[in-house]
Amino acid sequence: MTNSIDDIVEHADVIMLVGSNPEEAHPVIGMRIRQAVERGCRLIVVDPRRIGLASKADIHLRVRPGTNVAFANGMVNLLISLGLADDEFVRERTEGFRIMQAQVEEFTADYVARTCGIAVQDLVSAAKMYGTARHAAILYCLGVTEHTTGTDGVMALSNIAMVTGNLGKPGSGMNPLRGQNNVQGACDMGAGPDDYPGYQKVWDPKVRAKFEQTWGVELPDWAGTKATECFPAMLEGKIKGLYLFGEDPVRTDPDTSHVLKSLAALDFFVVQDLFLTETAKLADVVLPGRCYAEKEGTFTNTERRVQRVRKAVEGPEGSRLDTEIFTEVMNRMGYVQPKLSGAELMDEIATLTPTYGGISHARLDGEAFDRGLQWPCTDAHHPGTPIMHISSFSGSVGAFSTPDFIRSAELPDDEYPFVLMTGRVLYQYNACAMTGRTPGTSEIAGDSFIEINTCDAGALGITDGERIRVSSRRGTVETTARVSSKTNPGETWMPFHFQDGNANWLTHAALDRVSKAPEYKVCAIKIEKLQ
Amino acid sequence: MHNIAINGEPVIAREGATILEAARKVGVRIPTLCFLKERSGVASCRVCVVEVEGEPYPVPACATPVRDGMEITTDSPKLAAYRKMALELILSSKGAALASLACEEGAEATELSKLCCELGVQVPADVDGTDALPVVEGNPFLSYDPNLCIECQRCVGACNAAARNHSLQSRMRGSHVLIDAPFGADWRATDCESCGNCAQACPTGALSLKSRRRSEAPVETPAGVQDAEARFVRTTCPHCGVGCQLELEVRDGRIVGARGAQGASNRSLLCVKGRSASYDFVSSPDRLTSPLVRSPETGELEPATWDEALDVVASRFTALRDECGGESIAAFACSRSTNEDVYLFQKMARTALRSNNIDSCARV
Amino acid sequence: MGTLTLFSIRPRSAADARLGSTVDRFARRVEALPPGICPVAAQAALLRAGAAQTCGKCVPCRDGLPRLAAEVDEIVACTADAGALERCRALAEMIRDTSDCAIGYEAAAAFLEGLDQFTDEFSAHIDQHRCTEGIGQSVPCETLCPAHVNAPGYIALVAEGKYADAVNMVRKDNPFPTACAFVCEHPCEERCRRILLDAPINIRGIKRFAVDNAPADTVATPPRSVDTARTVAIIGGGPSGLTCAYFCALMGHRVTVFEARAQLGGMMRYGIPAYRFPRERLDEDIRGILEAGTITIRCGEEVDAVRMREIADTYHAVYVAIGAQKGKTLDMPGADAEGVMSAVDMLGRIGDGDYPDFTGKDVAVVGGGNVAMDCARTAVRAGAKTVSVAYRRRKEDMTALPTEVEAAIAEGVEMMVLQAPSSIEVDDEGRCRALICQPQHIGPVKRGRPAPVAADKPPVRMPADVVLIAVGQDIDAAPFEACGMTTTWGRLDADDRLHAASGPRNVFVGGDCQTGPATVIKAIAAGKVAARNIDAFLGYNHKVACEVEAPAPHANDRTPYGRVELIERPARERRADFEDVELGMSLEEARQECGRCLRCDHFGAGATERGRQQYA
Repeated sequence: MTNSIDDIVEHADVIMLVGSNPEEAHPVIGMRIRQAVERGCRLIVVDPRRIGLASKADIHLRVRPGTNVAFANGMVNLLISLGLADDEFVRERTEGFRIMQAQVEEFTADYVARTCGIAVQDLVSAAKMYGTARHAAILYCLGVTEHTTGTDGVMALSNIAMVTGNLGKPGSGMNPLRGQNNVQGACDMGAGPDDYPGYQKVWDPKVRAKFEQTWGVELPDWAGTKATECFPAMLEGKIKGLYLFGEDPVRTDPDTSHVLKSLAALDFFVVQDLFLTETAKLADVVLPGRCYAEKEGTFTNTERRVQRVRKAVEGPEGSRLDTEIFTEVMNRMGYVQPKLSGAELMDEIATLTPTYGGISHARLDGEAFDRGLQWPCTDAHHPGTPIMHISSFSGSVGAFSTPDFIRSAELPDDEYPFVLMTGRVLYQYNACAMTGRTPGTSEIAGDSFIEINTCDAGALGITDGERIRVSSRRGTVETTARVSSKTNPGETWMPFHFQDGNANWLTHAALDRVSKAPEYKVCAIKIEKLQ
Repeated sequence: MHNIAINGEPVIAREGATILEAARKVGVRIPTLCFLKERSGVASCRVCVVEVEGEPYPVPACATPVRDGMEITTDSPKLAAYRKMALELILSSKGAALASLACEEGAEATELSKLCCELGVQVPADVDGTDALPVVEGNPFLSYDPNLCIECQRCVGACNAAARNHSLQSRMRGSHVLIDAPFGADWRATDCESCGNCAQACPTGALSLKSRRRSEAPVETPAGVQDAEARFVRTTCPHCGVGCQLELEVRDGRIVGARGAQGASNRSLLCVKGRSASYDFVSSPDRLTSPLVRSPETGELEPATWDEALDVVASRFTALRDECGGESIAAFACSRSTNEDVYLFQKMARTALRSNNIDSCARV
Repeated sequence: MGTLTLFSIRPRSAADARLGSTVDRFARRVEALPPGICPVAAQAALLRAGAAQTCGKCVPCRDGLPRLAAEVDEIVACTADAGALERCRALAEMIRDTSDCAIGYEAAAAFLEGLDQFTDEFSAHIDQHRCTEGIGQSVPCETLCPAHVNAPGYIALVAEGKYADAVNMVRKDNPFPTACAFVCEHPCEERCRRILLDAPINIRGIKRFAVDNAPADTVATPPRSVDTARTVAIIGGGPSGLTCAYFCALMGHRVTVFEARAQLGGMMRYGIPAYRFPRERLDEDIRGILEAGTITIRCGEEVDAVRMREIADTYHAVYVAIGAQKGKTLDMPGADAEGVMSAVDMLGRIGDGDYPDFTGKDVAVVGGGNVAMDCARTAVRAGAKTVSVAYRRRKEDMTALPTEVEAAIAEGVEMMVLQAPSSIEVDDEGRCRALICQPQHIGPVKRGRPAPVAADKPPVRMPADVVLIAVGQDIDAAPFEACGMTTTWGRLDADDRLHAASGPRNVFVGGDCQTGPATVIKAIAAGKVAARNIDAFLGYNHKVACEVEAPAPHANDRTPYGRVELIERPARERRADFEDVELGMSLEEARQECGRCLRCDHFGAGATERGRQQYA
């Protein structure tokens, strides 16, 4: 997030929420958006589903799944033609405006409304509402990114913020709601094929030299493969060994049968986890690690806020601290390392990562106990950065991008006539490894279901609560129908938490060309009665 | 800024500040009960009454803004008597269960109990009400025992002013006011998100997490660990990316509860997952307690020693690295683990496995 | 819920609109609070009403008021312990001092006031486990009438058409049925139980119907007792003196009435204007009284100190009932100008037929009581060009009966309220030209009513050729003080039995000269009490015959009705003469009004041993 939650809740005049259902996936942000709305902040919801916050929104644009780029380009075109662009900001802080303007001109309101399945009037109202606000914030989530055109969607939304100058000031910004507790931190820490910690590029020789010097070892200089692309590589035999730390791709990754085939092709497969997950059952070696309540460390939240994780209890006997296990492996593989505490590791991170340069456990236990530290935090006296890009974009100007609208990889057809979207529900988290072990969550939400529009269900003779068969080109599951107008006709939605009827047997492993994120939000399915 | 005096000491207070805020800022304790910052300030309990020079009657510190030149007295025999009387009225407003809260002590004592201790209030002698009102407990996480409810409205503030869920209301029926807690048999039909912020706000345990009740049953404690009293460990929620700050309640080496802390992103709020589903898995009986290695003979995963398992891991990866190069190995980190874990994991991948095929589950 | 709640013209609570009649009933029940009720029980009820109003937010009100009410209930039940009063006081002070809104603090403040006001009553409940002497319900109208006239009885007689019997039923306690039919302030109606159903019975109106149909001088008085040969002197021929004379005569005593003025009647003749009480109707009562027995009238005989001593020595007993005849004056510049006069002086002269002529004059009246209204309305009839009343408080604060004020306004009198007279403007020839007033504004409540304070406004000049001062009357007690009788605040001292506190031991004192200016019915009541105690003083215990009985009651008619009011002649007509302004009831009206009577002498407490308050 470029801005902070508090900042948006207190200062935004308009919040545009795109592809995000925070009341279920980020519930406390959901509460805080409700606070903002009750303060008087306007709310525009852009989501195919009638999510809870839609009832509190001033405008709900029920765009067709996969049409975010068209929507965003249409907004930019409208903002420019209505004279709502911030000319000074565009002139002083950005480049590429003319090319972008030419690109979006064809995204007329009529075309966009038709493409996205929304009313022209609503689109114009949304543009006027967002464009005339003094402080307008865009919040978005996986409904934008989990598409083959996810990166384009983000870029197109950025154009909306940039063209109206809604960056680098309070109550505005481009604010992705990061999914998992430390997904931001994991990326920051260099868990990506191209990046050392702090997004320092592996192909940059100066950077590599710094790490080689500090770590005292020669480092590979070739570009790595992204996780989602590793599975095909396993089938091809290019990747023979996998060290999987705390994931359950059998349940969470798209196209489960493809995942199973890939893992089976491995020569050697290690899983380090708390539980014997569906994936761990396939491993050659399973190593028991420790959970967040059993270790000292930090998480970095969606606001780039680094906050402490503290040890509350000892781990179960027989398990070991994950860092200890990694140190053991390194030592046994000939790279001799001392055993370091969490605090010592953060000190090492700080010396290697400029954006984390001023972060230490000592500071987080002291003056920053309540507020944490938001990176960039470059030295021990740096207060952290609640709002990014205040006077410039990382020292340069912001470039408009020119994403074109491309339809989703798999569109409904006669055989598979429905669009399937997937997502989370309030009471569970991902594969339920943690939430599923609390009695109560499963009592409220323990089984898979699929949301179907009332008209479609009627045509198929399906009633609310009926067990049905759902199939895609990749697999078939049985699940329970929830019939309502929450989804539009022709569109369906499933949570991916539940092992009974897991949606990922159906989902499509088509990837975004840049981020390689799978298109969880659009695939084609058919629905049948059981008998 | 206003120049005021609290107990004779000059104090500079923010314009618009309440007397309570001004007093807290300079460390002067005014007891409160119904007041909850950013949640509820209806001034109903009258425990925070203070005297203001020139005012004929005491005023509630939580709801009275400071005026320039105000002279405030926060303690006097009269105020002490009034506060005590207010607490006694509260304690005797229901049956014996509520009245007996006055004598509870210790870290797990309710806020009302602690206030009674502080102000020297005993269990009232003549409580004639019965504990006959039925407990509302359809919701799997939350329950409401009206027999302990003092109608302070803190839960109402927590649900309406903080969580903004608007599913919990006060009935405001005079002396018979009660809370309409959405935990009844029809709880599924309500908008309640089971977030439990109401329970955290409750000073008597009328609104409570069922898990807290369950934990009163004896549990098997890890050997050698004995906490005389509950400890609270401040940490960050392990679920989504909001980064809510929470305090894990630890007793006898086990986590028995979680409550919201004043973090920058959550402002003491938690959701149902953070409050109720963030710790049971820690002590789940199906946690792995031994490394497992797939036996070449049976093809099954079988328990092994750490040395055996780590040797297998090191030797197999070393062989792959040395024979096929680092490109043949991939390492996927966990987006749920700590920065320190992930840092060391990718360091291990790049240094020992010699691979840049490192990624996290950021996309899934 | 949430932010999208739509506005609606429907009230939040559907019951609120329907609650109106409940509120009205609640108010009527409070208004009809029966006399004799235990004040502690009344306090408990007030507290319960307060507790019922709590919204439930705050502890002192929500939990404190029911708690306090429960403690007070224990006191009412006489089961409270010795510490109860202190506990109640401490709790009530806490509620008063810490409640958030008036629902709480006013309830506690009212209780604390009651605690101080009824200390004896509260202590009696705790120490003696009973109410104080005298607490107990009785018939409201009869109890609240100072003379305790049997109102249900005569109403029932009127209903049956027995008007003469009704007159004698009144006379059993009050020999002035006609006077009270015209000018009584009717305290009997204040707590009439009929309020619970609709409105109080128009008791005075019914009495007027009785005397209109059976004039008092046509109804024979009851037989008197045998002559006792005892002599009783009565000083003052007003309502009190004549009442005492009537009852003493019926008891067989020989009565002599000394009256300084030319005719009998006192303030009923020399204070109340004829348009309110025609003189011929007053004479009916007086003729009736003089029929009662041996009564010698000595009009035009002023009693000075020497004469008083003589009388006291000569007669077996003396009743001093000289009234309050002396008009109070205002001490302000110009008060002695020509045209400035005392209200009592003017009304007194009229009593003997000396009507003033105010033709073409501007008249200002100072005061806000009934006498001020009498002056103003008389001035209208005397031809004044304009008549204004200057009063330093508000109209609703006037002590005059509201109907009198309204009648005066209808007749063209201008009420200049919140005007405090400060001086009188005098011309070169010493004649009054104008009344100068300092405007007031209404301020905080003192001793139960809002007090005026000087307003930041310039003085007001009211042109006035005549200024009538009606700010109260004093008692001319000097001759009696000379005989050794003492006074307090200018009033002659007597005990509860009206036996003079000092001076000759056979002297009794009553009426306005003992109480200060009050109503006719209070003067009558004093006369009755004096007669009874003089009888006892003389060594007798006579029972005055009545010979009339109240008819058996019918079942209550519970149908709510409106109250029949007496209407007045049109203002434009009546303002030109001194004839009676009020019109009596028709037969139908009287029957309906009598039919509303709930006969509390028979139903409820009236049927019990202590349920009546009578002397006969």
